[in-house]
Amino acid sequence: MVRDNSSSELVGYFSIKAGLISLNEHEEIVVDSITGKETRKTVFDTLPGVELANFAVNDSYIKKYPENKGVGLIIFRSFIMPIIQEAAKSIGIKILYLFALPYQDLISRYKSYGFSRLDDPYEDQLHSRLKPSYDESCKFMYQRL
Amino acid sequence: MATPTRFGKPCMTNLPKELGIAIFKQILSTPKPDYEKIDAEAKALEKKILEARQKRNAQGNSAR
Repeated sequence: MVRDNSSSELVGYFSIKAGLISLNEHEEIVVDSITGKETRKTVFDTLPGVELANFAVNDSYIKKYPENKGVGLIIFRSFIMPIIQEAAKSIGIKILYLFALPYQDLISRYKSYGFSRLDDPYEDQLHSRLKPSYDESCKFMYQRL
Repeated sequence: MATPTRFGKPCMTNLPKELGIAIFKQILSTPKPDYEKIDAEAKALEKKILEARQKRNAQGNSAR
């Protein structure tokens, strides 16, 4: 939780968790770098990352202090990113990602924080894998670290 | 009765090979964000907020 240091009011909160993107196990021909011998192996590719699982700014705080609108960017750069950058030194995380509710203003804000979206066909395929069509899909957004 | 909208997170694990490789490629070929620019925006915003706070506090003090 992030609090205002003069009034102790709640400004916002966030939570992060370790995660990954992974492919199904599949077979690949692996070449031994010393002998040059080719062998067929089952491989499991992953892209380790950190998920920004929750992130919100307190509406009431912004209504009370409208001049603080945009404080989410300060929370993101001054509180969230230092934790992630410190973690990246000791564990092999490559990306920061989140699942944004499908609201255009929210997605635009995350873009201004440096997040990108996948191309449309991939987003559509991700949604159709496991979710019924009447569910709305959150948008996977990511940035490289 | 209206049905409430349900939101689901796409599953990013056990991706089928072709989709997964395409997603990996897109992610790994995306340039890193321009952190200097984003930090400059954050600093400018922080400065603006602190100035507005000082102004508000000064008005509060002078009203007493």
